Parts: sequence; C-alpha cells; structure tokens
Amino acid sequence: MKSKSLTYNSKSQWVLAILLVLISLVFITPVIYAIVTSFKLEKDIIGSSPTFFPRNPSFENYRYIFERRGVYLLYYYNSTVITIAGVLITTVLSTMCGYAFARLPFKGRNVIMGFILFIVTFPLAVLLIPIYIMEYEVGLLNTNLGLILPNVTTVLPFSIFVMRGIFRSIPKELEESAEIDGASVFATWWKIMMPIGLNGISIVIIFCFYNIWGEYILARTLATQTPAMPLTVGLTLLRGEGWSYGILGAVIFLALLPPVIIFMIFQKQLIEGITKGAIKG
Amino acid sequence: MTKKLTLTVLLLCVSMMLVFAGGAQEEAKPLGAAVEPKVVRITGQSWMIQKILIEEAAERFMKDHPDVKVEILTYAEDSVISNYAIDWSRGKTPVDIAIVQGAQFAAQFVARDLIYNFDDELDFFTGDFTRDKFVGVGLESSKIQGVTYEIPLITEAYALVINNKMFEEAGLVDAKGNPLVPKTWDEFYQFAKKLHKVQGGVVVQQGASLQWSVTNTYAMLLATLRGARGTVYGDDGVSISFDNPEFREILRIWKKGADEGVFSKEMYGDHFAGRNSLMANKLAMLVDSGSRWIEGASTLGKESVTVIPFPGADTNGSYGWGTGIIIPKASPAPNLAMQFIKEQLLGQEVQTGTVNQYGKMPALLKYFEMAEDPEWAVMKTIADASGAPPTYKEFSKFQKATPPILQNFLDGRLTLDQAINEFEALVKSLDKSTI
Amino acid sequence: MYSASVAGRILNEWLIPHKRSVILKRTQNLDHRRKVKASMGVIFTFPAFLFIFTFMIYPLFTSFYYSFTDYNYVYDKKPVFAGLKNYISAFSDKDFIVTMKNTAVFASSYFVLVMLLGLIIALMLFSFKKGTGFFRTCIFMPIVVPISLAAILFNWVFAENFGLLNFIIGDVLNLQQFTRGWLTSRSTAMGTIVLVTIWSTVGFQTILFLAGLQSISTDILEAAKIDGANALQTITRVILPNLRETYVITGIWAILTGLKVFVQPSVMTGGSPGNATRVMYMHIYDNAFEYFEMGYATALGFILSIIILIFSLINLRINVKEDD
Repeated sequence: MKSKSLTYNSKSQWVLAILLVLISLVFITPVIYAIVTSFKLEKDIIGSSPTFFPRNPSFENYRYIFERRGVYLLYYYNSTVITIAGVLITTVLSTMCGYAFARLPFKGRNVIMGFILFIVTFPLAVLLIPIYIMEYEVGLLNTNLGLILPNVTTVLPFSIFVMRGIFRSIPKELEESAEIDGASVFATWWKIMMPIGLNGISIVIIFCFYNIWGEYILARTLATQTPAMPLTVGLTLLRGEGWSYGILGAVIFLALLPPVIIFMIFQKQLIEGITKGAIKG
Repeated sequence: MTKKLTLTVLLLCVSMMLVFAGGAQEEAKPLGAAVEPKVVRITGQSWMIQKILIEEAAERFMKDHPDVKVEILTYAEDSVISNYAIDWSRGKTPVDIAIVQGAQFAAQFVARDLIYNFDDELDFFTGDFTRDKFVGVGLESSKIQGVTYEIPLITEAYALVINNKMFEEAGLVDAKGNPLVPKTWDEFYQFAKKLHKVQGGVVVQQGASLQWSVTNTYAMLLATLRGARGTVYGDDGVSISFDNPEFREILRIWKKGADEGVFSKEMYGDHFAGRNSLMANKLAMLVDSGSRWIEGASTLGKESVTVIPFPGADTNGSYGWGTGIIIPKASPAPNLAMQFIKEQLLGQEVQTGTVNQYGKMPALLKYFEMAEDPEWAVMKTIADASGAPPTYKEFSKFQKATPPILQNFLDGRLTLDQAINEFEALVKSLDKSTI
Repeated sequence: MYSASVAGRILNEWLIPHKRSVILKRTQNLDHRRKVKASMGVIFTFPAFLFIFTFMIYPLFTSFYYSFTDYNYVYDKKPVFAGLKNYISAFSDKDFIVTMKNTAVFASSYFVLVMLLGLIIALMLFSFKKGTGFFRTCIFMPIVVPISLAAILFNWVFAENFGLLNFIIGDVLNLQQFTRGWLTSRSTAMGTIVLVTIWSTVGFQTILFLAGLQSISTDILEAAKIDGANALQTITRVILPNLRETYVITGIWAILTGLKVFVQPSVMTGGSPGNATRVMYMHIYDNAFEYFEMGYATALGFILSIIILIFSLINLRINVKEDD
C-alpha cells in the first residue's frame, strides 16, 4: 500500500491534510451541534441568544427520555436483532447471487438481473399497504422477523448488484486455474472468490447496516406496538407536538452511538477489507 | 436443461405467492358483545397522551375500578390508524379508543362503516354530557353529515398570540396598560410595522408571523375568511368563497406585509417556526392556534405573552377544531370505553389540567370557568363563535393545494386576481359531497 | 427425473472430493462444464430470488393491476378497470409535471455533485499517506444519522430568524447581507435540500470510490510514475478510465437516491415555497395516503420506476463493456 499514493511531495501532503481537516469539520459539525444541544436546557436552546456550547450543561433531556420510555432498551434490542439478521442474510444471499450473475451463465440471467434492478426503482411507500396486508394474514406484524424480511428484500437488489460488480472485476484466470485444479463451482466460490471479494463484502455490510438501522418507512407501518418498534420509530414517539431540539439532539446522539462505536472498533478491519482488493497483475 | 430448472423454481415461487395472497376473511364481531372484557385500550400520538393527561387519567380510573385495566398505546403517525382499518374490517382491533384529529380523519372509517356513531349506536349524549354542554366548535368538527362520530376531548382555535412586553415598548397599549387589539387587517399591519425592528440588516424583532405553512394554510384561510365575513361559505352555503372584497383586502395586506418583511415567511416549510420565534423572544405577533400562548409563556413567563383575537375573530369567530376519540365497531368493550371517557377524559382533572398546563381548551363549557388565566375568557368567546372545517370528501385536496397558491401569490408569482381565480377554481373542482 | 440426475451430479461434486479423477474426466468436456455452471447459477440465485419474489412480487403485481384501475381504497368497494386512464392523465396533471421538473432539477444537481465530491474526497483519502482513520470516521458519520432526524435538525440550522447558519453569518462573521430564509426562498430552497442530501450520503459514495481506487493495480500506478506523469495526468489518464466498474455502482446508487428523494423535501419544506420543492415521490405519496387514490398512485409509481430504470440502463450501457 505504500506505493499507492499519488504524491510523495510533502507540500502537497500538507495541503491535503488541511483540506481533509476542513472537509471533516463540515461533515461533523452538525452532528456535534446536535450532541452539544442535547446537553442544553430547553430555554437555552430556544432562548434569546443561541450559543454553541451549553451555558448550563444538564442531563435533563436524557433524564426525560429514560424516565418516560422504559422500553427504550427494547428499541435498541429490536434494531440490533433486525439489523444483524438482515445484514447476515443479505450478505450470504447477495454474494451467492452476485457471483451467479457475474460468472455463471444461465439462461435469462440478464433478464432476471434487470428485473431485480427494476424492483428497487419502485417507490416503497406505495407497496406498504399490500405488504401490511400480507404480514397481517401470516401474523408477522409487530415481530422482528416481520421487519427483517422486508428490509432484506429492500437492500438485497443493490447488494447483489455490488457483489456482481466486485466479482466481475476479479480476473478470470484465477477462476480458471481453480477449475483446472478440479474445484467445484461451490468450492471456487467459497475458497477463491470470497476472500478476494472481501472488499465488496465490506461494502455490502456497511450498506445494509446503515440502511436497515436507519430504516423508518417500513418500520413505522409494520411495527405499531411499542415493544416491537425498532429505534427509528420508537424515537419519534418522543416528539411532542413539535420536536424539542434538546431532545432531538439527544435522540440523534443515542441513535448513532451504536453504529459509530461499531464503526470505530471495526474501522481498521473494514477498511482493510476494502483495501485488500489490491491484486497484482 | 436450465430452462426446466428455472421453470421449477418459478413454479415454487408462484405457489409461495399464492400462500400469501389468499387470506381467510374473519367474520366481523357482533356489535357490543354481551359481556365486555375489563380492559380498555386507548391509543394516541405522543403529544396527545401527554397533553390530554391520559396516563394520570388511566391511573385514577384503575384506582376507582380495581378490576379494570387501562392500556395506553402510542402511535407514531396517522397512517398507523389508517391501517387499523384493515384490522377493523376483519373484526379485530388492537385498540378500543383511538384519539384522532377531527371528523375529517375519521371520514375514511365512516365510509366503510367501521366506527360507532355516538348519536344512536352508542347513546353518549345523556345526563351531564348533553350536547349543549359541549363547546360548539368541538362538536361541530366531530360530525359527518350531521352524525357525531367522534367525541371531542380538547378544542383549539386560531387567534393572535402576542408578546405584550413588545407591545408596551412600542406604545401599543391603552390607558390601563392592556395591549391594543387590532380591529382591521390594516391596523394589524400597522401594529406589525411598529413592532418590527431591524438592526444592521438583520431582523432582531419580527413584527408578525402568520400560519402560511404547507400543513396549515387551509386553517389560516378558513380562520381569516370566517373572521372577516362570519362564514367561509359563499351564497350556496357549501362552497368556500374566496372571491369577495373582504378576502381580497386581506390578501392585499398580507402581500404588502410580506414584501416589506414585516410579515415573516418563516413558516412556509415549518409550521412550528412561528411558535419557536415566539419562544425565542423574537416575535411580536403570531397568528396560530391559541394554545401557543402557553407555550410562549413556558420560556418567557406568563406576564410577557397573551392572546387576543385577530381582526374579526371575537365577533365573527375563527377556525376551530377538536381532537377527540373514535371507537371502532370491532371493539369488544365500547361501554367500558365510554365510561372511561366520561369519568376521566371529560372529567375535571383532565379538562382543567390540559388548559392550565398546555393551553388546549376543554371540550366542555363548564371548565372554562375553572381555567386559571383571564385569557381563556377571550379564547372561549372565539371558540364559541368559531366554525368547524367543511366535511368535503376531497378536503385533503383542499388542504394540499391551497399552500402553493398562497405562497406563489405572496412571492409575487401570481397576481391577486390570478390567486383568487385559482382558489375559486380549486373549490369548484372538489368533490364537496360528504361521504 | 431429470432434476434428480442434476442433483445427483451436484451432490457428487460437493461431497465427494476424492472422486477428483472422475470429475476431471468430466470437466474436460467444456460444454458439459458450462451446463453445470448454468444450473449452479440457478441454484445460487434461487434463495435471493425467493426472498424478493415473495416480498416484492406480490405487492408489485397487485400494484401493477391497480394502476390500470380506478380505485379509491376508502370509498370504492372494488377497483374498476380503467385501462390506461391513469397513465394518460398523469401527463396532463400539471402538478405532476411540476414535480417531474423539480425531481429532474434535484436529481441532476445531486448526481453531478455527489459523483464529483465522492470521487474527489476518495482521491484525497487515497493520496494521503498518514493515517486517515479520523477523517474517514468524520466523513462516514453522517450516513449513520437517520435522514429523517437529520432533516429536522437542518430545518433548525437553516431557520431564518433563529437558525445557527444565519447566526454565524450575521452575528459572528458580520456578513448580514448574506443571511436569508434558506428554505423559504425559491432561489435557495432546492439547493439547500441538495446540500443536506449530499452531506448525508456522500460518505457512502466515497467508500465505493475508495474501493474502486484500491483495486487499481499498483503496477499501472508505478508505470505512470516512472513515465513521469504528474498527479493530474495520473488521475485523468490512468485512474479515471480504470474506475469504469465503480461508475456503474456509484452511478446507479446516485440515480436511485436522486430520483427517489422523499424524506428531505418532505420534512424540510413540504414542497414549499409554492411548489418549488415538490418532488415526484411526494406526489405519489399524497395520492396514495392522503387522497387514497391507489390506482393513480400506483400508475405514478410505475412511471417513476421506468424513468429510473431508463437512466440506470443508460449508466450501465456507458460504463460496461459487454463481455459475454
């Protein structure tokens, strides 16, 4: 990776550093602002002169959240279950399917690919009512499974597409040499393609994770009872007639804490995964 | 070869689809089962549960009746209740009482005969709860084709919330120090101009903010139309009339105020912007729901904020609506539900609590007397004279189509005549029949 | 019976590796090999397809059927067949035409910006030698903030009289003439929404581009360096052309996000001022859930789908070299 840089020139590196710092600031300031606001009292937020940092820092907003919503931890639990299951299922299915679209020729492959792509173009909101009726008949409403399944279906098409792209960019020689060694299709897929496709899998994992974690439209319709709600819906119950910005800030902070922590812990592995796609030749 | 395999796969999928497509229809439960279960399940939005003091009411009810359970569910958005229609049409329901905002919303259930009416099916208006004891506009907004489908719990009406410290400072007070009430829209504009302060190009004190939002423009129009003429309707008594000299004058003044910046456009996309400005001590006059004055008082103190009528509201009325409850026919415990409503939700603690703490007016007239602040006398006058929303089948089209017309006019993209014509054309195109 | 022998053959291949010699003999027949791969292809695709089929196909088919009917699902007892009426009246619905125009404005500016910024930021991260962990965390953070909450937050930041941005521009930087109602004036409303969407989503584009950059082989880059190419030349002549496969993915994702935009304008402006920020998805949503016109809403939904599909296919065509 050492030779992957575009410039060695230290002056350019400094310029880059400054630019990156600026960009990072722009990206992170709204989030910081939300978090900082969450520690302010209501009157300091809406009051006469807004300040960036709290004048009288307080945990009032957090107290409000945890006191009124005993089921708060349940929201986290639901979101976690739904997201992890969704990510796992999607990863397995999309890698298999993506490989098939990339390297296993079968009749109608392009048609089905196009069809799968078409599905994701349709506005989800319109499908809500048939999906609600479907789940109602089968008794899946207000269950985690009832949210895992449609969420997977929503992120699956694009994940398949990503994996297909990843697998297509792997040179055919690798596969062919595996074939000559007598490996079955399954073995080729598992032992050769998957390790190299890890960067793509990381992308799929990130994509699914943040989409399912932050998914609101499906969750709002299919989880109407509080114990079944994931975080995104449960948090909106904290909205009064209008959002109190202190509580909104606290809500945002609590909603992004788990993904950010996970990202910071696995950042190295994930980005290594993405960067491992380097192939010689 | 693969073709056959693909075909087998497709057949499997089709059979799975049939599994989901077919669904046994359950028979609807008979009305009011003989022995009702001792559970009342009530649902409302988060703010409704809070501001109508439902949790405390539930506790008191359970204490009074130890064998009864009250369960409170919170729903995130209106669409959740709309989807309950699917449950109800199959005879099942997760709730016995649903708090909704007005008959307009309940109309979708009435069309499919899914909720009770309170005139004959559930004989509600007896004893202490006869119709004359309710605030007029609350009951009116609960009716569809003259039949009551909703019991109002709180009522609200549009009024003019002001920061009276700013009025004092500008000299807009009478001999006793009470703020002057603008009697015409021109006066309103003059007041706002006096109260508007700009320093170095930045607005430090906004004169007035009007409810010109995408969500509530329709209410603003109905409120001011009624305040100006005593009725929103034209000669046929059914169509909302915009083409009249009073409304033209209103539009003219609104445009003047908007062009000069004296009337703020901040609420275009956010119907809370005005209330936030008020609470931030940056706004002098706010035309919005009267309950906002209590919200302003929460940051500025009750001495700084008060509510007065906007031009015409006290004599001709304003726009009022009720937030109340519906009971689905699928509920197994309608009588217990009604008991809960009568004993607690329309009882003193809730009805006076909601006024004093949150500024939502009670549904029953007698509780106005028990309200703490003198402002409620003003609001009562306004509410009593107010009109409820029209019960057109296509009212939601009216709600959605009016904001762009008004905003385009205020932004100068439509002339006054064009705007009036578009409003009239809109009303003409609506299906004004009630369901 | 035929499927049994296919299954048998597959089982053989998976579970009995010591039969390698047998397999080798068979795999020497290329045509046969291709057939095996083809059937494996179907098997590999099947689970995913089953998922999608069950959850999407039934709703999509019913929606497709409804789009040819007149069906107000609250007031009508049954859908009434109406042929192409919905599709035709969509194009004479002047509100819908306005939303098409707005969506086009949004999507095109969003597409250009997100592709450019995603690429540029990825290039910067790629070129920076020292640890980029901190920068990466910052840039990727907005994508985990749920967009509906972020939109409300930005509503406040951009508020005219008490928002943070005007406060900074007016009071802190003393540039009063630049303060304005960002979301309430026609000239800036759409642009503000685009910027908020960029903030919220460019992190993912950056990840995709980074992955693409990392998969360019080092030899090519070395060769360019040896040939004396400076940074700009390396970028334009070497890197950009090699990112073709990445453009497919980032392009499609940008098209989808741009054309299916809904939450941001809904929450931030609700379509105001006037109709300036009303997008197609909002119109579809209102028809479905406010007016209950299922027939019309589904027809509009399919029109949107087809538009998105057309642009996606264009993107595919431009960037993919046909190799089978």
